[in-house]
Amino acid sequence: MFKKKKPKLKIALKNEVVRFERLGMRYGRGPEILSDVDMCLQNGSFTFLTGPSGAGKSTLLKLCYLELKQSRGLISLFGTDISKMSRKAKHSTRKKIGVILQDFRLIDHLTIFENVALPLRVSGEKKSNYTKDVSELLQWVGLGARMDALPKTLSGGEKQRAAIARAVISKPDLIIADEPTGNVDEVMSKRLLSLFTEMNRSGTTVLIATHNKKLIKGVKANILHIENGILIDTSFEPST
Amino acid sequence: MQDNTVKNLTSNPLLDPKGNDAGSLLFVLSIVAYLATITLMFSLSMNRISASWNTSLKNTATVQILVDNPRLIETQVDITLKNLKENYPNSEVTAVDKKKSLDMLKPWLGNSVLPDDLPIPALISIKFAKEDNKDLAYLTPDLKAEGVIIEIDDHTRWSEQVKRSATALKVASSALLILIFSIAILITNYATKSALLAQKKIINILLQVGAKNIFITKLFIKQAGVRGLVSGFYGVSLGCVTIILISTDRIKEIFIIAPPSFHWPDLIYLLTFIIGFSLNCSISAGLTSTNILSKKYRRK
Ligand SMILES: Nc1ncnc2c1ncn2[C@@H]1O[C@H](COP(=O)(O)OP(=O)(O)O)[C@@H](O)[C@H]1O
Ligand SMILES: [Mg+2]
Repeated sequence: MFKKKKPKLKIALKNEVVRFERLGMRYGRGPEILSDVDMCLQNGSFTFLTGPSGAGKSTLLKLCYLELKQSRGLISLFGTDISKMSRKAKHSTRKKIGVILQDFRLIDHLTIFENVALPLRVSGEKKSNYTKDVSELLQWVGLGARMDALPKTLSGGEKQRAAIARAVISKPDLIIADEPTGNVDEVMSKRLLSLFTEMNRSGTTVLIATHNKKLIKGVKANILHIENGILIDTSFEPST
Repeated sequence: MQDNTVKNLTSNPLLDPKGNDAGSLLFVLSIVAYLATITLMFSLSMNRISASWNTSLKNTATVQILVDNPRLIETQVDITLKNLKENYPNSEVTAVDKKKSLDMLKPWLGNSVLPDDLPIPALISIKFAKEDNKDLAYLTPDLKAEGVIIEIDDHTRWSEQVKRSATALKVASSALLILIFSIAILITNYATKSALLAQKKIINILLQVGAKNIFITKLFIKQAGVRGLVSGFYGVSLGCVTIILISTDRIKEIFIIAPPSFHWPDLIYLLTFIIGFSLNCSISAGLTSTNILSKKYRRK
């Protein structure tokens, strides 16, 4: 209970939201999809993860939001090695991460309002306490008029915005998005991206996987590139 | 275009209320509750019937006069009647007439025409009054002194048998109830398991947005509890209607023994049953959900 902590390491990791060290990942007995990945996301940073389809972007993100467990190496989130986390600690870590996936993951029989309010509802908040926040957020992402609609009546872009709203409603410290602009046109892509930059401006760390090179242009962000299982940090040399 | 909006006044349940064949599950659980109701009512009625038979048997006795010479019947009956009336002044002592005696023999002899001179045993029935001592032990030697040979049937043999049968029925119906409850447990377990599978998408989303296992388990406990209440209510209502229908006089005739009947105090048992049924469903859903969530859904 009163184990001596290592204050030096804590201070060093304090500013890091995600850290991978010599990380290897394979599915079952398949080939290694990620080998010896070293990467680190600073608190408040904005990062694009790029690479061709099948490079392992989604896999890397899944490791970040604790959906998968690495085959070898170290992952630490918010300064804590995940292999040393208790179930409770993992649960509270998960709550600090907002995830937006390609398939939106909206619950079909719940309204958009209810879908967006889900993170608050499952953590036991009363509806009267969050109705205003959720409505405001939906207004902000341009879904103010669609609050009471079911997901099946929404367009791809609207669903995407609902998924984003749900990811940010509980004010997470880290937002992870997997191809968030995969289903929308260029204009909508830019608008969605501005949601992320807005969130980032208020201090949230953002990690977006995309293979859409156009999206990256003109955004001040770090770029991590994966190809053939190797992660290349290109943040110091922006691609042309 | 249809207006697909849903009123946002109350929150929808998180688990898909229409998912996982909710209708047929409710139907099956209602049938189970119905069978349980019939068994319960049968058991309660049996208790009542055996109790009432026992009291009525205890308060009556039959004295049979064994006559070798039919011409002496009248006198011997008179002697016996007189003796009994003296000793049991408040009780109802009556000679069973010949026709009635014949009727009583019918079950053994069938409907065949009996010869007139067939020696019919003379019977005297006694319905004891509360104030009179019910001991008939003195009677046999007393009457023997007057030349009347009798046999006394005070129904103790019957009453023992009734008691034994009633106990057997009670044990059987309790076993049946336990079996029915086990079936309800199995059904709920199975339903919860398949719901966890069918609603895997929803559960994964809930876990993703930060729900704890216990939160999801509570959803299943609540759902199963409500299903238990609703199907318990349907089953019990249908069971009561059935019982009331078969206890109408018309249908009563079909039964050899009295069919189960509905009495208002039974409602307490039935309400307890509904609550127990609902708890039974809740607990088994809770255990199954906890079990599966901690095994299958455990993040590696
Ligand atoms: N669940 C899985 N089981 C086995 N192989 C998988 C699984 N998910 C992804 N893969 C494989 O891992 C590689 C990387 O996939 P993914 O991370 O989805 O790439 P990206 O998101 O960059 O397109 C692919 O070759 C894919 O076939
Ligand atoms: Mg992908």
